[in-house]
This record gives sequence, C-alpha cells and structure tokens, in this order.
Amino acid sequence: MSEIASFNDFLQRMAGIEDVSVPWLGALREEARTLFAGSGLPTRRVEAWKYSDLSRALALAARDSGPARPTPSPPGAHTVLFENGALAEGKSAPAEAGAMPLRNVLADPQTPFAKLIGHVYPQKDHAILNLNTALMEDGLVLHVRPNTTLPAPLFIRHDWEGEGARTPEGRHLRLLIVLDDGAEATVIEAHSGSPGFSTVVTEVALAAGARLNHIRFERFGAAARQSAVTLAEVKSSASYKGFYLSEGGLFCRHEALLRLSGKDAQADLGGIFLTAEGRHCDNTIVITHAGPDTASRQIFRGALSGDSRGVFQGCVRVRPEAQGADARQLSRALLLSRQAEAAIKPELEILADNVKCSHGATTGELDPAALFYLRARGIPEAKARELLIEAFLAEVIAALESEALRACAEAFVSDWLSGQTNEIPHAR
Amino acid sequence: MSPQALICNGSGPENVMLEIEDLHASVQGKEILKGLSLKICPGEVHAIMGPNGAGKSTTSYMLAGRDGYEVTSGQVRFNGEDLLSLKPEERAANGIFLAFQYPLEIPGVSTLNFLKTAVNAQAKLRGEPLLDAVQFMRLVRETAKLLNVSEEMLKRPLNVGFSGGEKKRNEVLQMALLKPALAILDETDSGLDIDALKLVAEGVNKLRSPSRSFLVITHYQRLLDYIVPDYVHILADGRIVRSGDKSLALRLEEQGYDALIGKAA
Amino acid sequence: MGQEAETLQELTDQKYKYGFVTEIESEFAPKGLSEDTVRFISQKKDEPDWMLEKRLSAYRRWRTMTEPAWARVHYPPIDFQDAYYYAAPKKKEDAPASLDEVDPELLQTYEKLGIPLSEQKMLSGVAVDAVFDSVSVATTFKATLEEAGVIFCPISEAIARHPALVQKYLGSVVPDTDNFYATLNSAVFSDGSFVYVPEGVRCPMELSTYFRINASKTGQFERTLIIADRGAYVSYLEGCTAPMRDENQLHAAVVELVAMDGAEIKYSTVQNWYPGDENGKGGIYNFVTKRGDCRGANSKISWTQVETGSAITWKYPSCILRGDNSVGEFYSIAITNNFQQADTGTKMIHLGRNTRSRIISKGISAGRAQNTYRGLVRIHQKAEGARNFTQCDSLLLGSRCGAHTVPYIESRNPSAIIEHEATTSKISDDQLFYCLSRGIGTEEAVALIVNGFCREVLQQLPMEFAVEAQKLVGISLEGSVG
Repeated sequence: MSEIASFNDFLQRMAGIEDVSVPWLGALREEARTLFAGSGLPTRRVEAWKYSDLSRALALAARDSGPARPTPSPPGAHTVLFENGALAEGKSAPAEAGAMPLRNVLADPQTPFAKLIGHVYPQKDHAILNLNTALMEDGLVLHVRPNTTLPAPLFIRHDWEGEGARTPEGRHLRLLIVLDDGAEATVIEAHSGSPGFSTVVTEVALAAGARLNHIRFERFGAAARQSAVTLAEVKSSASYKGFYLSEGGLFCRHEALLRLSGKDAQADLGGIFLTAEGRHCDNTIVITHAGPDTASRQIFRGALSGDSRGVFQGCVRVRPEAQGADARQLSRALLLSRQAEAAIKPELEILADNVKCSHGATTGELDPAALFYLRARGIPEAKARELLIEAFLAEVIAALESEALRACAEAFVSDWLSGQTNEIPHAR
Repeated sequence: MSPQALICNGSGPENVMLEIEDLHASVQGKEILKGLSLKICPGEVHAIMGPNGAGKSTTSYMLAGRDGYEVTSGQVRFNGEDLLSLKPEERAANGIFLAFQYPLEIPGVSTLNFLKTAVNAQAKLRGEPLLDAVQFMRLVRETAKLLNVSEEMLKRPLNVGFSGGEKKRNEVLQMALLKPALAILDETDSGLDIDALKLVAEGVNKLRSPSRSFLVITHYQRLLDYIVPDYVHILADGRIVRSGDKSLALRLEEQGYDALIGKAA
Repeated sequence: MGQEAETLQELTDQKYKYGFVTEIESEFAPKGLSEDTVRFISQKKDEPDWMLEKRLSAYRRWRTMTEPAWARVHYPPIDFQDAYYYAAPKKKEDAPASLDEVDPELLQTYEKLGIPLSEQKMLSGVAVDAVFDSVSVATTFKATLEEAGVIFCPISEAIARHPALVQKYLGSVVPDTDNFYATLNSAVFSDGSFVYVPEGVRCPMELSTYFRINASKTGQFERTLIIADRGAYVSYLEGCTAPMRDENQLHAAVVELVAMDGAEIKYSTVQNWYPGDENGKGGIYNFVTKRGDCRGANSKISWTQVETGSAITWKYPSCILRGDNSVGEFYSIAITNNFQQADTGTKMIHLGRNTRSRIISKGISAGRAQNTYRGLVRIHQKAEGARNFTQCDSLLLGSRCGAHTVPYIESRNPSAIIEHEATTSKISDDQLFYCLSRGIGTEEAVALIVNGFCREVLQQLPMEFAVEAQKLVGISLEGSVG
C-alpha cells in the first residue's frame, strides 16, 4: 500500500463515502467534494500558501519518527483520547466532559448541529476545509448552554503512532464548539506523534457574551504532516482567546480564521512556534473585524533552529461596517541557527476610517550584549542562551490567565529547549 | 614613579592576583590598548582614570572576555593562570566580576531567577554544592537587606524599568552574592546623582575585604571620594602614563588631563 | 503658514492644472502591436541591428506572457491592439541642433508645465531632458555636463553614440524577461534618458527628465538607464503629466540604475499623471518597473517618490544590495483620491554583507480610493550583519476608501536584524479641531496635517521638488473632506 497521498487518493476516498441516510450530511459533502475537485490541493501559487509547499510535503513517503511524546496537560481537565484520528471509546468518556462524539452527530438526520457543521464561518474556496468536510469521520461536538461554564477544561488528546497514523488518504477530524449566550469553556487540543497526513478543522460559534479559551499544543514528531484550520464566529461582546504552541513537523500549518461579527467582540491570540532541524511550522491568522468597536490582539514569537522554516502570516481585515476597530499585532522571530529561515507576512486590509490598527515584526538573533552580560555573571553560554530564549517567549505565556496552563506552556517550552543540541551559530 | 616600577605591597609574584603585561588589544581592527601593564594584589583598590577614548571600557571588557576585543600581543594572568584563554563564564567562576557601566535590561527574566542561575552556575563550575531554593532565598534576603535593595525590585524583570541608581545597586547586589576576588567597576558613577552614588559606594565599601581587590574605572575623581583607592593610574592612548596614590586623582581634578598627560609624555 | 495657505487656495481653484492638450502635428506608428510596430519604432530611431533583435526577442517573449493579477488593482482588460505605441511631434529635420530649433509650440507647452527649457529662464543647477510622447524634444545644459564628463542624453541618442555602454548595462538590472510590462517596454520603448557619470565624478547639477503624454490613444514607454561609476554621485529627478482625457492611457516605463563601488544615486519622482475625474473616468494606467543595483561595495541607491497621479499605479522601485556595505532607501508618499488605485512599495534584496535598507512609506487614501503598500525585505544566507528598518503608515480620509499594508519579510541569516512597523489610522479629530479653533479651514487644516504626516519623506526631496510636492499633497486631496 502506498503511503503517499495524492489528489486522486483523496477524490477516490470521497467518492467512496455515501451518506444517503443523512440527507444534510450528503448535501454538505457533495458540495465540498465538488469544490475540492475543482480547486485541487493548494499550491504555492496560491498567495496564502506562498511559504508552505503542501504538495511537496505530501509527495514524501511517510516515515515513523519514534514514539509520541505526550504534551503537558493541566490538572483536573477532562481528557478525551483520540488514537490515530479515531475516538478511543474504551479509554475516554466524552459525555462526562460535556461533549458528544462527532460520529453520533453525523449519523443523526435530525441533529440541530446540522445547521452549524460547515456553516459556522463558511469559506467556500478553502481546499483544506472542503477536503476535511468531504472526509471527516471522527471528532467531537461541544455545546455549552446559556450562562453555563464548562466545569473542567476539555482536554482533547490526539496520539499519532504506528502504521495506523499513516493511511494514504489521511485522517480528517472535526471539532465543533458551540457556546450559547454567556457560556464559558476552556478547550485544549493536544497533538503528539506523527500523523502521515491529517486535517483538523475546529469550528467555533460564540454567541453573545460567550467566552472561549482555545489552546493548541502541537508536539508533533519530525515526520508529522498536518494542516489544521480553526474557524470562529464571535458575536457581540463574546471573546475568543487562542493560545497556539507548536513544534511544527515535516509540514505543519495551523490557520485561524476569525470573524468578529458583533459589537465589542474580541479576539486575543498568543502563539509560540519552535522549530528544529527539518521542520516546518506555519501560523496563518486572518482576523476579520466586521462589527463595530471590535478588538483584536496578536502576539507571536518564533524560535527557529536547525535547518527549519517558521512562517507567520497575520492578516487583519477591517470591513467598512467595523468602525471603531482596534487591532494590534506583534510578531518576532529569533533565528538560532545559520540554516533557519523566517518568513513573516503581517498584513492590514482596512476599509473603515475610524480605526486604530498596527503591526510590528522583527527578526534577528539573541542579543549578543545580553548574552555577554549573563556569561559575565558565570552562566555558561548554553544556559544563558536558554534563559534568553525563555525570556523571549515569556511575554506570550504571561498572557495566559490560567496558572495551570501557564505551567503547561512553560514545561512545553523548557522540554523543547532541553531537546535542542543548542548549536551556537558563530557567525563570520 | 614609572608605571612598571609600581609594585603592590605583597611584593612576591605569588601574591599578585592580576597581572597585565604589555597588552595590545584592538576592536574592529583598530588598536585601542597599546602596551597596558598593571599588577593588582589581594585587598587592593586600584583606580584607572582617563579621558574619553583612552581605552577604559576596552580594559574592562577585555578582562571580562567580551567578543570582539582582540588581544594582539601581551598577556594577562589571574592568580597565576592565563586569563585570556577562558570564556567569560569561566572568568566569572574564577572570581572576576564586571559591574557594567550600562547593565542590560532583559525582559522576561526575573531578577531572582537570574541571580539564582548565576550563583549556582558559578558554584557548579567551581565544583561547589548548589543552593536549594530555600537556602538561596535566605541568602538573597540577607544580602539585599544589607545593601538596601527592596524585595519588590528582585521580583521585577532584570533591570527592566530600573532607575539608573537601582541598576547600579543591582550590580552591587550581584557582586555581593557572587563574592568575586576581583571586582571591576566600569564607570559606575555614570548617570548617578550624588545620593545614588553614595548609596552605591556604601555598598561597595561593605564588600571590601583583605582578600578582595577592586579595579575602579572612572572619568571623574568624584567617585574616589567615596571609594578611596590605594593606587591611581592614568590611562591615556591605551597605556598607563602615570601612577600614584589617591592624591594623583586630586591633582588630576585640579589640573585636568591635558596637563598631567602632557607632563608624562 | 500664510504662503502655504495662499498656494493651496490658488491651486484648489484648478483640479488638475496640467490637463491641457497641445495642438501639434504628430506622426504615429500604425495602431496596434505587432512585429511590424516594433520594426517601425526601431527604424524611426535608426537603431543598429542588435537593438532591433533585442526588441524583437522581447516582443516574442511578451506574447507568451500574461498580465500579473496579484496586485490590489482592478480595471477592465486592456486592449493592447487599441493603442499607438509611437507618437512624435513632426519636425522638419532630424534632431533640433539647439533649443532655437525646437518647435515653439513645444517650448510653450513646457513653459506652461512650469519647466522652461531655455537655459536663461531655467532653475539654475537643474539640467532637463524633456520627453514628449515618444521622443525627447530637448536636453538642456548638455555642454556644462560634457565638461564634467557626464553623459546626459536621450536614450535613443545613447544607443547611437555610446553603444558599448548601452549594450553593457541595458537590461542588466531589469532583464527583458522580467515581467509582463517590463518585457513590453523592452520591445517598444521609444525614448527616455540615459545618464553615465564616470569614475570619481560628482555630477555638477541635478539631472531631470520631464515626461509628457500628449497624443490621444497613445501609450508612453520610456526607458531610463543611469550608471554611476566608481565613486560617482548623481541626483536625478523625474516629473510627469498628461492631458485630461476620458480614455485610459497606458504608461509602462522601465528604469534601471547601476551603482558601482562607492557610487551613489538619488532618484526622485513626482508622479502626477492625470488621475481621472471624480467619477473615475479616464486617467493613466501606470505600470512601472524601477530597479537599482548596488553592484559595488559601499554603494547607495535612494528612491524617493511622491505618487499623486494616475488612475492606477503599479510600481515597486527596488534595490538589489549586492555590494558589501551597500545601502538602499525607499521613501514614498502615495496619495489616492476619488477612484484612484495605487499598489506601490519596494523590494530590498540583501545579498552582500552589512547591507542596510530603510523603507519609509506614507499612504493617504481619500474618496473611494484604494491604497496598498506592498513590500519585500529579503535577507539571503550570506548577507551577514544586514539591517532593515521599515515604517509604513497609512492615513484614511473618509469612510469609503481603503488602506492596505502587505509586507513580506524573509530572513535567512541570524545576524540580520529586520524591524517592521505599520500603523493605520484616520486624521485625529483633536488635531483637526485644534487647527479649526485657530481659524484654519478644514481643507487647509487637512493639507497641513497630511503634509506633517509626510514630512519625513518630503524632506528627502531636492528643494525644487519639495515645494511642488507639498502643493500637490493639498491639491490631490481636494474635495476629500467637508
């Protein structure tokens, strides 16, 4: 069996799925299939994919990159386990966590979620989304009722290991998070190991005043290939807080496409990408301000070592109706080796005049003067570099409200640092 | 008194802590130090004074081991060992401490974490037992109290948002915790008003001991009213051109660099 | 203050004061584009065979290319067969030997444009090459420049008189295959300026080319080539206007700059092509490729542009920082009003060690205009110690316009430091109120504040242009507030 996924593999697989008994799903898949067949897989000629070559990554044979290293998890969270993209029913109880298996929802012709799945924030020309819609089988649906707080964080743990992780047509997961008026929840998606190819789509519908903390921990193996998309519709006075921490993989991309549609809606994003030899990590953010007085913040930091590439694309769009929008973005990349590459594309697209929008971006290496200061106090160079890298990332982690999550993030970072050979790029 | 003839009070070579011999050093291809020689024995306080561009900062950075300072000839021995082949952190562990003229602001690193890392890193390099969190906190609290450093300051990120005086006091606190054999004060008075200067000098004086030496580098005599040196050297164009006791500094204050350097030449 | 207000008042009376047409008999190439057109142009210019071959090969290449679609500009498809690629005022003899022989009608035209061509009346210290539709009609101060060893002449003349220099450098910065519009230009360019400043020479005066499109349904495809040899310095100014017409006219220029070791080129543009009327009818389509090559160590190329005209602007003056320690600069003001669309910015390609670049971009958008900054900073692996600073500010006047910022930052060297900042905002109500409370009218206050917003770029312009540019800022925004 070939482990190389191609456009045709996907099409064939799509043709093999029939949902005649669930008309809404059949129609949804049919549309996605047609759109996908028309667009094909994204290539680098598509502007949004300029720095990430998916077809090249797919053309490489999948390999095993050893056992999965689990990510830290906060104490007291409800864990739902997925093994190679399939819900591990015996090992987790979604209902206790307040969630239901996607399979059950997809099998229900009358489900109220039919009007949400694929419709929270539609993106008709998004090939990965269409691919996922046409092939999704597993995942979760989380629905929190009005003015209710999910009692414990939902920790969705994805382990990717062994042969099962590497099917040619890949694994395609869908997560739907629906928070009613004034509801609150914390959801953590954690990936470890190396999926041969997977897509994960997380749809987030936040009603008025709802608040979601959405955390992604990606501790992929070196052979991991994943293209993930988070779509969120944020209604008035609702708040989406995202925290994305990723080590990248052979090909890893996460897109967050957020729409602030109601007055005073907010999005607050923090991201850290850490790449080592042979890895690729792409963070693509598009925040659309479509309601008045909406606010967004983005702070991203990347530390790139070995022969690796870190990508940050952050676009802020302000629609004409979004007067009073306030959008800020800061991205900084640290190049830790002679072979690492940073590609940064901040972007502003402003169609309203009463706005305050800004972005800042920097790339560079560790400050030699700071490094010398630490060494002059007797701290060995490798340790001094570690301290400075942690300090560089600290601002993003500090923005996390939950102390438990901050501890997880810090552990994640220090684990990554200790795994680095800490090559020192002596220039010239 | 010629600079070469100046022998510290211990007289025997086994007692010399720092010995700089005919040192030539350049920065970006430009020669800054042109035959610098100096001996410092344990317990002594030496002051190096000099006009702008004389090579004062180069001297301190070269001793602490900063990149980009290339020694082209001459040597430096510290307690009998070749200093120049050591990395900055090894020099620190061997007992060299540089109080920076402009201490770096490092956002994201808390002062406490930095201090603990430094104290334990040096202990490790020296093969001494490491301090646990409790022992370390006790040590820091005591030292901070001795030097009038508030605990609130310790919790802030390293030097970030510190006033000029706070930064320099933080340097002295580090000195107290790291217990160096030789402390180099690089223009510690710059940017300080008289009250802050007194406070810093007071801290330094508390750390004077028969086994610890100081090299005080300054442009102005003012600092030496508070940290009284045993020897004063005038550095000009990369060499020590005059040496004497503390009265030399006073004469310098009266007559200016031109007069004294001119006489020496 | 008083003088500025006066000037504005005076200028707001006319919307686009350069919109007149000169009645002059012209000869045209046959309408449309074919190999014959290319041959016609080459023949008109008495070009050597190598030049014709170069043009034909570019033309063949162009036929295989498609128009770029990535810029944020929208316009109906251009019919490349529905235009004249060559138009020249008819003249009795080949080239006028002196200004006295230049058609008085033309001299009058330039006088009206504020560019008197007779040397007595000229701004002292500025030599001008005047390009009218497809040909250069006059170049001033030639003799003075020749004394210094500086060659400043129409490019058609350079092809005939300095073929070795032209062959060596033409197309060496912007290859004939570079992009759709540059390739088109390489096939049909008619005239433009050529500058060569020899080793060690500091050009004794500012050089300037004034481009004028006059004829209807005619495209202008000028070509400029400036070479500053080792240690040379030259400051070059470019201005342009066109009549008000209902049709859209195409302008596709190519500018190539070469700076050898230690040389410096300062290139300033005030682009004031007809922008179209307040309903978006007419105006120039300005598709321009400008690129400088800092070929030698310690060289410097500085672009300054004030873009107020054209219905569509598509323009990215760039620097290839090849020589070690070379410096690239881009200072830009882009003002769009009514239905204008501008997609402009720069590329700084850092190849050499310790190369430095600085980008200051000020975009002002009013009416229903769309204004985009698009820029690339790329640090190659060997560009040790490279440094870039970018500041990109956009100002919005009114709620129906758009301001967009699309920077690309690519670094492959850890010792390189890139800093990029961008902001978008509207004119502060507080600032405006402060001006109003001092008795300054709204329109004037806006012009004042916008001029302040642009100050950093305006300061880069040579004096003669700075004044003109400041006035232009006010005029371009006329009708945008109130």
